Amino acid sequence: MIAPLFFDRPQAPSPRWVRIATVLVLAAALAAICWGLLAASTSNWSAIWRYRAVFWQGWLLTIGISLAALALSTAAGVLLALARRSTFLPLRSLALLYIELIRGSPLLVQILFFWYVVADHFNITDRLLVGTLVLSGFSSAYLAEMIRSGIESVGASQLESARAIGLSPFQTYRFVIFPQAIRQVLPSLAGQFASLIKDSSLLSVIGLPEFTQGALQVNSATYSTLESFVPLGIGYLILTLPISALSRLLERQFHYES
Amino acid sequence: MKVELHGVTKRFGGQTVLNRITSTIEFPHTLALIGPSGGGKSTFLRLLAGLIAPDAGTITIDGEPIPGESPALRRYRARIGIVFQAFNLFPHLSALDNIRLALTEVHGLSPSMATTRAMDALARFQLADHAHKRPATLSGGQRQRVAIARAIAIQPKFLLFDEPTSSLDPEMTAEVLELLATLRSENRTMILVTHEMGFARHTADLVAFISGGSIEEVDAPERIFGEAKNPTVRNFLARVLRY
Repeated sequence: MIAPLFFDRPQAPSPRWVRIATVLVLAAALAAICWGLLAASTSNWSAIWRYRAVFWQGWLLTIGISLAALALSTAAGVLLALARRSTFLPLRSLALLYIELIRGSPLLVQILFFWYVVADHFNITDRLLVGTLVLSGFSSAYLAEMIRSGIESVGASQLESARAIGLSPFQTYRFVIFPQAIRQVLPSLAGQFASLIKDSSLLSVIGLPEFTQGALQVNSATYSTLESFVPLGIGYLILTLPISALSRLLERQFHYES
Repeated sequence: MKVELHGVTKRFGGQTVLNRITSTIEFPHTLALIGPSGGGKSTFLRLLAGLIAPDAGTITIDGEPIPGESPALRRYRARIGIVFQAFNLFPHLSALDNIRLALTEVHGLSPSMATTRAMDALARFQLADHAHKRPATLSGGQRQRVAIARAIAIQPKFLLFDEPTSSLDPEMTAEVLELLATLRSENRTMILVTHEMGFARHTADLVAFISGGSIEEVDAPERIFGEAKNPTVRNFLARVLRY
């Protein structure tokens, strides 16, 4: 019997050839299914190829927005996490309110609200600016909670040691708490960056010419849905798969160190 | 060294850990604090370290009161070498960087001077080979020795030890006690909380017995261990020294 070989248990791992065979067989089967679907449809790849610049520019803008939002939301997330731990009650309550509101409502609703209500009220017409800020604000609430848990994972004995050698509260954060918290938070931070990239697709609803908006435009110009949206999915996977691999690597590394 | 306590009280929550202690303790070099767990020894040491402030009363050391507020209190702490029971070292820094941190950031040494002084301290305790290792890769005894090297490197006015061997196995305990005996022979001023009665007896100049939130007896070790006046002290020692 060959079936037991496919059960991969820690104490009895599958042989290497079984692992490789599994991947190959599954890949072939999935490819066959896709091929069947594609062959059945009248595909129009040449029309899509003419619009490759739209895809390319949208993809680059998605990367740009995600990077900017990552930087902004990390900075805001650190400040929010500190505010959330502040002994000054009004500041702490305000941070908690912000985090709960943002985490409690859908990103799509936030985009619509900030673009059609807030930006409109203040006559701000820069979609890129508003889109990036909304995405950053959204992500910062999640990052704040991750960073806070990272800060709180640093033990009380470490803080006492820091006080004992005469470090100021600022120096304690700078030299003792943050370096340890970052290590703890880095895997989830990488995961959050992958989420950020995916979430940025929602910015297409306000007409920001990012990747998803680009695919929508190509679709309406060529009437080829599959040919527009398959590259869209692949484009996101090219960005997110390496990040989740990195996230897993960091997780393992942290695991060994502690 | 002369430690004067005047009406010192410390409460945690509703519990009074130290209760209106008034006492003058004077000793040439080494003071050992002994007594049952939860009796207030560690709290007493933390007060001397300036890590916590008393709820009432004042403490003066060699005539100088311990400041009540930072940053004066922080400057006071920076001049004292403190070694805890465990988890002294910062796990993300090498042994060398653990020592250098306070030297560069608190004591204002240049990076190269800090490195020289930290390496000297490590070399003195046969730890030079471990300078670039993180605490996780050192043994418990080595970690405590690095912690002691860190305390020495700042050239402290005096040293405080809070049960420095309690989390170590007998072999590592011996390794750390040997180091403490070396410091004692250099006539450094130190105060240690310890459960190692043999060590307290043979190396301390003076022993203070703390129990139930007060200092029950202060005397030379041979008197405390031989002919303690206080029945609480006699009972405690009879119990711990029985086996």
